[in-house]
Amino acid sequence: MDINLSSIYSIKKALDTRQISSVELSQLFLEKIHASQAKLNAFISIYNSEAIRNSAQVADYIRHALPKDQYSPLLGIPIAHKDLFCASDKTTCGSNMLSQFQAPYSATIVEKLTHAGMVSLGKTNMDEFAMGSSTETSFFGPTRNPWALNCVPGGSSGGSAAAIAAGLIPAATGSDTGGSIRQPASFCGISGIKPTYGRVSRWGMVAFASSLDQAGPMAHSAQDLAYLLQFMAGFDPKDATSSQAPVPNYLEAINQPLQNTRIGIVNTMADMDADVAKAMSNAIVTLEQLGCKMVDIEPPNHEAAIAAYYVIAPGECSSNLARFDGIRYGHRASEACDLESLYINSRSEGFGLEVKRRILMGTYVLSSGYYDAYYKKAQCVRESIRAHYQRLFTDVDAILSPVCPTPAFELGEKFNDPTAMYESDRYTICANLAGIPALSIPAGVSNHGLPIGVQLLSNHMQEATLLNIGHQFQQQTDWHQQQPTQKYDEES
Amino acid sequence: MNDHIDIKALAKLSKIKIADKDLPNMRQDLESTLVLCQKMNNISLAELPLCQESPATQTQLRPDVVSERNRRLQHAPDQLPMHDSFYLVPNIID
Repeated sequence: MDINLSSIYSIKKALDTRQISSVELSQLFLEKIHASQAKLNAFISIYNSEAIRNSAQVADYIRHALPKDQYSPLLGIPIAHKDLFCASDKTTCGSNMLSQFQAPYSATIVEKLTHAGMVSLGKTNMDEFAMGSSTETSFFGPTRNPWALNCVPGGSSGGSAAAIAAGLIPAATGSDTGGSIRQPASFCGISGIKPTYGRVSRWGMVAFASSLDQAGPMAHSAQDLAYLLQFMAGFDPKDATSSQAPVPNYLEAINQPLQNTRIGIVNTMADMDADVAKAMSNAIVTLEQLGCKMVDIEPPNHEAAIAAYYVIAPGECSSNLARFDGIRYGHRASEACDLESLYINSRSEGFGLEVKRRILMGTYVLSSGYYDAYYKKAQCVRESIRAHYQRLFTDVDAILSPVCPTPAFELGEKFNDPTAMYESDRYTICANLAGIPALSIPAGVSNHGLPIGVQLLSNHMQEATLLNIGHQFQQQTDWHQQQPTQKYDEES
Repeated sequence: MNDHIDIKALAKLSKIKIADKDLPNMRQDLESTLVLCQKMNNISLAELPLCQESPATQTQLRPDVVSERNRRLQHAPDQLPMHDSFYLVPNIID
């Protein structure tokens, strides 16, 4: 039996033609997850095989009982959720602070995808509280890149990206506060989209920086992302920042021709690695062949953006993480002589170094003496970046840019140099500051055999435009179909 | 800007304990992050347009309606008597 399990579309076809059942499918992926765990460490929790079997049996029953047009296209397809989405089970957020936390409810997107019939196999590894760009800050140990085990998979959704790239799961959820979906997607050679702020509900997602956080899907192709986003997007009365804008039909939108689509490109990014520059050039040629018109644009000030981001995000983080005190939420220290020492000991034992660093930074920039100089100024810079994009999108439909200045770096290479790690987010954080959607798709491979992604940005609520460009691009290229040659199962 | 950071004071405000041996590294990390953050001073904000929300992202707030019925009497049967939504308090005679 030779079944293509690399895309939602091909899996759906195999299920519809009864080449495989959901029970067999979930069992197959579950075996792969267990076999890879020792080397990749892509998962924090792997669900009980009996529970998975029950969900898959229900999917198989519905598929046989109902006509094809009456069940969801995602019925019976396995998925994994980043471990910051509550899922009526253990939700650790990659932290010792929540290592024993049992979520009493499920996040809206988890519920939506479950109602669509997807079978959840487990929760993926991530940087602690989504703070990091390498998945090295996880309390449960780092995840490794399936393309090169000595390299990071990116972060913070590194577990989701590595699991998809290694073929352990066809789709996963992620969250993106400063590039946490797009950068790991780029490092692992998969596709990922950060939707517009408000497009997908944040209810049930552990908050890091509430004005920047956004949930989104990760998968092999833009077409798979369209399938997933169709079910994830939409108004949620439980999230006060959720948008009421109607959700278009993404699967119809991705097949539109790209004739005369105007794409903005930046010719002044001098700090890119040569392999990344080459991938960008090749992507431009492909898009021109598809009929797109390239327009030179002036990018927003990336230096100022990264500066503003590392004021706003820690500020919101120090505020959001105040609830983890050992009483309201999280790890409780066993030794304390009074309430104050209980708070201090619980937080000191529960949080890792990077989280502590950002909490201190946030406390500093929000303190009364420095509020105007840092936080208020950063909000003004943020507004100027948003306004800059609004002006750009009067001339172009989308903007093409690198995701990261380099391909995946080695484990430990930037771990002790936080500013070097922060600088690697320079191309991704603008989309979060402006609240606009951005798509990362594979567009090349470096001389060392590591995947390289490019990103497309568009105006608010224009995810359909991005998925359309991404899908058409992937009809012309095969970067998204390439798979790592590394062996990471237990026998190898 | 005075960027000398008193890590101990910040840690106390944040309810986090930083061991003495970790203080120099933490101070260095925060100071280098602040140097990074000061690059936002390079951007001119003189002609910044007023903050306007894009129509596409306008959010509709949940209706501000009190849906719980008043259960005050049920939960506090011994409360002071009321008249016209004011408590009737005993007169104090000097």
